[in-house]
Amino acid sequence: MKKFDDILRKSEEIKDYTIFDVNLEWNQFSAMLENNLDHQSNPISTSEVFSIEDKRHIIYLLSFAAVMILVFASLFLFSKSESNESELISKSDSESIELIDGTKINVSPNSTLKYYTNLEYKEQRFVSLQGSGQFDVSRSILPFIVYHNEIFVEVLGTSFKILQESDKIKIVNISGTVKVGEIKNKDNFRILKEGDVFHYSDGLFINPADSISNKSINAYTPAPLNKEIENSKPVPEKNKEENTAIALKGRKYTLESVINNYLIKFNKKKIKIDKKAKPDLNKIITIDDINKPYKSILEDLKQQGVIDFISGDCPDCFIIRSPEKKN
Amino acid sequence: MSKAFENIKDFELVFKEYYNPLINFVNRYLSNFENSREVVQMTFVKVWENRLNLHIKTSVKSYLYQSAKNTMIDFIRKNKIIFNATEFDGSLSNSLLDDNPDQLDPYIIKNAVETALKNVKPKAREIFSLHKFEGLTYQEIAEYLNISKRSVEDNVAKTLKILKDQLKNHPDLYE
Repeated sequence: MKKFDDILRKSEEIKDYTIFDVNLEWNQFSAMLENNLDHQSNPISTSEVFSIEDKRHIIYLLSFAAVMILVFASLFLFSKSESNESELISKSDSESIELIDGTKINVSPNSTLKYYTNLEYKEQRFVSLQGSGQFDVSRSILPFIVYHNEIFVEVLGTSFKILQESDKIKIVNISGTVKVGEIKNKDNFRILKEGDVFHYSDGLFINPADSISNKSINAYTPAPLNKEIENSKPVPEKNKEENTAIALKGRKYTLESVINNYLIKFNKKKIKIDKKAKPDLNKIITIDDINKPYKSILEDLKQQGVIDFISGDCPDCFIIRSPEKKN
Repeated sequence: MSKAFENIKDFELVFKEYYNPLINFVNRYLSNFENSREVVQMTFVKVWENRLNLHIKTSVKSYLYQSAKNTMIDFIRKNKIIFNATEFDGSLSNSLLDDNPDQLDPYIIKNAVETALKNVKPKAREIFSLHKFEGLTYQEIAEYLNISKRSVEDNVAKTLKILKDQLKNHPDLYE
């Protein structure tokens, strides 16, 4: 009896006790289990079967609709891209074509041009060229961009040539201004003024006019104005040999590219540039392996006389300074 | 796997036995029966979904108590906006850390008594409540309800007998 009184006393401790109808709650709960959790262990009523069938039917319909939408969308996009782009392949003779915006392109023999046939909703005019070609681009608010292997040429309205030579690409700007850059590194670009000729090879834009005068190769210095591009003097054989010799030792870079794109970019906390330092960033230098330790690269640059460096405040930190002047 | 969840019939018995105690226990913290009901239903769904992997080492009561508490904590975390810190006083939030499943006992007892009292006639239930829960004497009840003291005594005795019969086989009341 004491135990029973204890039970009653404990029962009294709980105020505001609410009793839900467990039979009703169980029916709802078991229906939920039947529908969502365990179809196998619980019998399903006829009405539920219809409900599930209906759901399945709807899911099939929705799946079918989704697939059809995808198919039609793909077909639409495919037909759109087909109608917006065409290709010209020139074999033994050069071919000329005038695009819908009035741009005239002369495609050299053994070259391929992919060009636009519709500029609706377009923000740029893209063409891609394999081989060589000459472009007379009609002026438009839409930039005209030529992709050629590793480089792009971007203009608004001008005439220029792209010539594929054995190991390099030659860009000849006939009139106006063009921008030539590397596709993979768009920060590496040059602006060509009227008459400029640039060669591109191994990530470097080289102005052959500078090589002729046997100065240090300076990719940033524009060539002197020369409208007779085709009659420009060929590079002397002696210079060609010198260039080849440099190439054999390693890959060529501008000092600016090495400092900004490799040393500073990947070692921001380790390498600083002295505020008073004024190295000639246009200098062409040779690095045998750009991925070697940054201290080795700094030593290479110092050895080539383009920079000097001293230790910084932290271990393995360095400060780039102007090269020591030779007496 | 626990025997309690071997089949849907056993599961139903456990559900019906603990559903109301768990809801009222959870409601002590949430102060909202709709939310408490949701938490307990989620608890039973989890138990059912995981029944094949369950290895209950203590008791069904302990397991359900712990499971409901975990589900409630998850529910509170997911609904932080609703349950801001001011709604929990210190003793309540501290009691959440108490893993003693006996905290559920008063709710089980209350549920058992309340369920058993449903089988008693309303008049007898009222007399029993006045005597056992409100603390009135037989004489006071007789005067209050304008019946004889003997009638009060009989009603209390009959109700006690029914309750004892109903509760004597309850696993959580008599150990």
